[in-house]
Amino acid sequence: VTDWSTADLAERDNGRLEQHQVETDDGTIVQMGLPASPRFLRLARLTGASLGADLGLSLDEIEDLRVAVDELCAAAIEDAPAGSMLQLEFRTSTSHLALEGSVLGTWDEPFVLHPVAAALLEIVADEFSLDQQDGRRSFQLQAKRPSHDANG
Amino acid sequence: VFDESENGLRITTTELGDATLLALQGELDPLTAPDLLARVDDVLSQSDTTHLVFDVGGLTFIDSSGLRTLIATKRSMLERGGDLEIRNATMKTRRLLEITGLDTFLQVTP
Repeated sequence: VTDWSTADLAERDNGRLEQHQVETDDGTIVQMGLPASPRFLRLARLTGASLGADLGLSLDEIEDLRVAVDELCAAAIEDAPAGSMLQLEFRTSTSHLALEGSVLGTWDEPFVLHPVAAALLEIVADEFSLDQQDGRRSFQLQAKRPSHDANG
Repeated sequence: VFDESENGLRITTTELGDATLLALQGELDPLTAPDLLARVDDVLSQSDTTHLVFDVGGLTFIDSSGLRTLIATKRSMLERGGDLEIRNATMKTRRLLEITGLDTFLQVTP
């Protein structure tokens, strides 16, 4: 088993890792740039799960969030050109977590979900959308904080 | 016993008479699903097994790419007159199988 560090992996995939975190009055903003490779989906899932825990989501809700983040990121990077980057921005507030993602590239295929992925997302995501135009694939995701915890 | 660990998914293969058991530990996602498919291809090309068992109790994550791997393997086994058994699914994995309706297509056992 090869023990690659994250930085090694990024370099091997002709990309680089970028992450910035800003604390706001009512939450956190985390911006990430990851090589558009399945190897880095784990980092996106981990970040989503960590912020979901901060938001007070239950274990099941955090697991749903992991799946939702994974499915949208995986769909966005499918067939991405070598060297392209997946840009992610997580935003938490007192009531919800929002994720916006995008990948720049030249695409031969429309940005659509595999039926199994679509079936999963319909259940695990509160709201999501996909878009592809001008060589940019993008998606949005929202996970809402449980209403009984919204004020405390 | 053949043990393979790569990309975050450990696959341990055990011959059990007429059956072959693949125990999966780790994450089954777009990175590791091809590893599992390759292992299944190896097993099917090197033996006449008609009963393949995936012990998924050690999976810490599975997404639609993993579920599609289960579907593809099930179809391969049906084509050779055999079947695929999914064993030891955790509550999380079982829930995803139920959400997608795959619990009725796949043979899921405790």
